Amino acid sequence: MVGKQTWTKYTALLGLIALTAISAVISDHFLTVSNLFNILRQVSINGLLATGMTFVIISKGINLSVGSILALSGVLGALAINAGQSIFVVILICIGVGCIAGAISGFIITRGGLEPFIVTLAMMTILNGLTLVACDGRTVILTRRLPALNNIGNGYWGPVPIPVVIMMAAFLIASFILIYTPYGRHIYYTGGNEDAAFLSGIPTQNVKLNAYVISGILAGLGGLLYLGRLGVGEPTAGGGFQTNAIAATVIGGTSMAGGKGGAWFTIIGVLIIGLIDNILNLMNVSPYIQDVFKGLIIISSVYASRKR
Amino acid sequence: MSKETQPLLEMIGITKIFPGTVALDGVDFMLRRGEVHCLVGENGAGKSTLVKVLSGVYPPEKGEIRLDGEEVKVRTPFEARKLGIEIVSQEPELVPEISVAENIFLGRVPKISNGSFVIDWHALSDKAEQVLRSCGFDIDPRQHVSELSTSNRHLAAVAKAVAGDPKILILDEPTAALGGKEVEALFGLVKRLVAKGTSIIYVSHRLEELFLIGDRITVLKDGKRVSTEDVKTITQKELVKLMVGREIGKQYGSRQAKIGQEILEMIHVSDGKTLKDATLTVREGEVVGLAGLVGAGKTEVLKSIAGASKVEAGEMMIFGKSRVPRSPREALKMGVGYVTEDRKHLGLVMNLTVGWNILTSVLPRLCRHGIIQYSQCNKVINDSVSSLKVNPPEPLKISGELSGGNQQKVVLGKVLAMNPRLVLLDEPTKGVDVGAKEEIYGIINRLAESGVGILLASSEMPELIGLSDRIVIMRDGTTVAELAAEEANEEAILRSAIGG
Repeated sequence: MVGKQTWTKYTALLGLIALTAISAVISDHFLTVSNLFNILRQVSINGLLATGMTFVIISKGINLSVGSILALSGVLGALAINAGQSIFVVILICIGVGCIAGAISGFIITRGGLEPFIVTLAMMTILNGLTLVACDGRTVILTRRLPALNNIGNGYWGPVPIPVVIMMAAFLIASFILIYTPYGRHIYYTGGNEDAAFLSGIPTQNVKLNAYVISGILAGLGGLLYLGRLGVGEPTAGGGFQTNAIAATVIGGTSMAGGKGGAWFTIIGVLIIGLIDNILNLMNVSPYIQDVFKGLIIISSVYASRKR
Repeated sequence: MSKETQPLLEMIGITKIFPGTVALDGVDFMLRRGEVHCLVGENGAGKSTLVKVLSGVYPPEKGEIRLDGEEVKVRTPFEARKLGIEIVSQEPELVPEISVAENIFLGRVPKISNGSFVIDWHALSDKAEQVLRSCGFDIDPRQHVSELSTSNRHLAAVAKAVAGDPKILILDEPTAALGGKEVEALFGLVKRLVAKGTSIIYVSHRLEELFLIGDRITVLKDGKRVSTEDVKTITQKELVKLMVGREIGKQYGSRQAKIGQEILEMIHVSDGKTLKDATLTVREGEVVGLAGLVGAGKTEVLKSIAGASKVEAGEMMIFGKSRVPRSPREALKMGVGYVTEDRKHLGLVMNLTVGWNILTSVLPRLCRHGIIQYSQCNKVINDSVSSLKVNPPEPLKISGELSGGNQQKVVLGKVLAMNPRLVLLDEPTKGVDVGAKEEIYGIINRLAESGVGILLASSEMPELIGLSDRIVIMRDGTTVAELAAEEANEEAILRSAIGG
């Protein structure tokens, strides 16, 4: 009756199917199991960031600092490893960094009543600075091997890469929260009409704050994956991650106007971006041109979903 | 046909289809020069759609529009304006953070010389002042629109439309947000415009008004034109019959409510701003009316009880305990439900479905182990939609697509889903048609019969008198008098509300 998850907007899904078909025709290599898992692994970090971004955007906010959270948590995680800490401490640090950064942004946005765009933009700058301070501006090279960490970035669970497992788990949990918990639904009310939601007894400030915390935690987790995948703490890792996360969310059909969207929309957006990157790679197209394509896809997909 | 006898505007066979509904079904409408032509009908009858077709907001699927006998196409509001058609919609469309003067001349600001693109600020201010004065409105053109009261904002929108010197001026529910003095100013303006030869299309639910300023009345029902009547030859009763297709007998209904214990007591409550001193009580099963002019503090009383504003002084007893809710959440938990006046901004999440809106407050109660039980949700929604007679009875419909009266029922459904024991209603029938009004009155009566206490703020006096057990009258943020149902009449209420 309530339409648990409205699949009324098929545009993104149709786009994904079309892209898959085109890719299969263009490249023989595309429809192989290894390539498909390869695509999924490549999108896994963006998948985490975009899932968090979905919460924030449904609440009518934006989080520009997720790339910077990723970089800081990766660098601090790497430093912790070099300091001899266990994998559990490293995981705790990565997630903790995201949680704290998200909570601070969320606190300033809700209690101070400032624009999310400005606050998270400032947070991005602050975190970038902190990252460079922490590693003295240099890439942190791991001085010891931590097999568990390597596993997180490069391991497999059966045929499935571990980062893909993590991403899928995050998607499933996020969908569950958004569809089956009052907190999840409260984000839609808050994003759709904050004043009405508040007068209806929804704790709108906490709802919004938590969206930034979730987004931060997933970005911190993204930092852990990045560290595991590359085996270095890279202070400049963050660049471009926030735009990709926002792009995936919006391409999927979550509305910047708030109150509309969902994690299942976002997974489609993430896959569309991944597919475009993959097929352009398979076709040996310059990576610089790839960004141009991505921008055009964002505009056309938002245009296509402009009218339901 | 000579130019004088030829109608100014003819709309012929206008059909407008929205997904799922035929909003207008071959409607004919004819407007003469210099007449006030009223458009009435229940919610969803197609009044607003018809004027929006004429003002270029909704291009029609079928039909033609003739102006001075020539067929015209009105595809955008801009084209409508060029043809001399101006509309003042229910929600005034003004830019909040610029001055009234700039709003009035939006898109046609005076320049320092012909062909220049530099704004002549002095001329702008002078001209705006002239327009406002000729309209008879007391508004400072230098003020930002965001600083204006709701009623002055509506009047500024009227001034903006008049400044375009239209041949046809459309007023959609112009008096819904106005107080008595402002209504008078508006009617004066309408009469002067008509004398000048302007034609006016006047949409209103307040039937008394039509008989004061209208020349002819067209009745719409379910997207079709029922008839067009001369104001002089029809009575209000006949008109209502045409609108609803039946006679409305006892509009306010009746109830057998047992009045019980006191559930709300306010003693000298003040919010430090508009609300200065409110003292009143509400008992179980009782409907207490709250009367007063616009700005007298009715809404502020409700907000202070609902936890939506800070109480600075005074004492409040809710359900026998001395307490002041600090947030709407706390108030709801106590059992206090609040139906706001402004449905669009404070009532509903317009882009969500009817079902989701009904569930807004109640979700945490429909959980097991923190997980929403959708079967229970559907039950709540279905009960609500059927008992409140939401039309169309489709929980999946987007709330913004419903008519005003049905949106109001959804707001009520949302509040009632929480089973409140005290319900605060702020202008519950504002912008609601006769049929839906009657249904809302029925809901209020049934609530009172079930033992719920109701505090009803309204600026429609017949409604207050017809529904209330007692009426508390406010003036200047203070409760100044109280009348029992038997002794209440419009004159007595107005005397206390105005003072002196």
